[in-house]
Amino acid sequence: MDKSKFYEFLKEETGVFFNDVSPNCYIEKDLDIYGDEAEDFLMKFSKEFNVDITSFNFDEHFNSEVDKISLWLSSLFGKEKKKDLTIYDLKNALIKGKLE
Amino acid sequence: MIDYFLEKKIIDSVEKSRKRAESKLKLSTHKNFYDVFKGILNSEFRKINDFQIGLYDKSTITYVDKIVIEKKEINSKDHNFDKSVGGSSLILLGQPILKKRFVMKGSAAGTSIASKYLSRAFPQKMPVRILGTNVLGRAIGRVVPYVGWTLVAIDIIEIIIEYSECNEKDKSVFYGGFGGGSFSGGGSEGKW
Repeated sequence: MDKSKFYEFLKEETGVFFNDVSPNCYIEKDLDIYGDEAEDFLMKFSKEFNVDITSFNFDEHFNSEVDKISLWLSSLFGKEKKKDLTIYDLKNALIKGKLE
Repeated sequence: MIDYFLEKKIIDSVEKSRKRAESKLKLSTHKNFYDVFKGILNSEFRKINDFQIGLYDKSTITYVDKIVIEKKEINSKDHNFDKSVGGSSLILLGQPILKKRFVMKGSAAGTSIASKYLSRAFPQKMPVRILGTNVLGRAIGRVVPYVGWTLVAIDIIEIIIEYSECNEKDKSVFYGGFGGGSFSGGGSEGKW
């Protein structure tokens, strides 16, 4: 499968250049994509590559549109940790046609 | 008859007592200025009285009968909480309290008022990503709560400074001082 279109998409959406040898990175932690931005990113990803995201639990993977200070304060009160979504997960979704 | 010499001695004693009380308080943090000052002033006036009694005929002397010390508070301007109120409002505007459109499972978590309406007002794309977005309105919306936190932090620092300054003044500044003295003279048997 030619992933050049996917890398182009990532470059356009994240501003970071990726290729086959790029290390795996976290969407939220490394690329700072969260909240509305993450939702827009996944919707574009779904539309562009025809990937089903309806069963993907957004809340489990991404934080809401919230500032880092509030996030830190809520983490003090035992807020559950988010599961990390990575570039590798997106590549798998491209193959499966579904993001879970 | 007014004894100018005695009056001068009283004024000097008050000033001397004030200075001594202040230097004594620098060494101790637990003492109250009023009590320390009163104690020193008492001993100073006792010296004056002893001097007066020794100097003049007991039936005609002027001496210090009693002292009244009044503490006058300097009314500082009340703290203005505008920054805290404004800051809290901005923080609230940046919280994800609005429900979002439902597209994915669990994606209705919410968006902030600032982000939602500002991204609608300014949908322009920026050449660089700021705060994880290149949408102008969303970037401004994400800055909003940080501005709020900054205002709240400034206000907290100001309150701490005002509080510590107030405490410092309470210890070292001679607020009211010698508010009113009652000096009686001649013939009284009483001795202060």
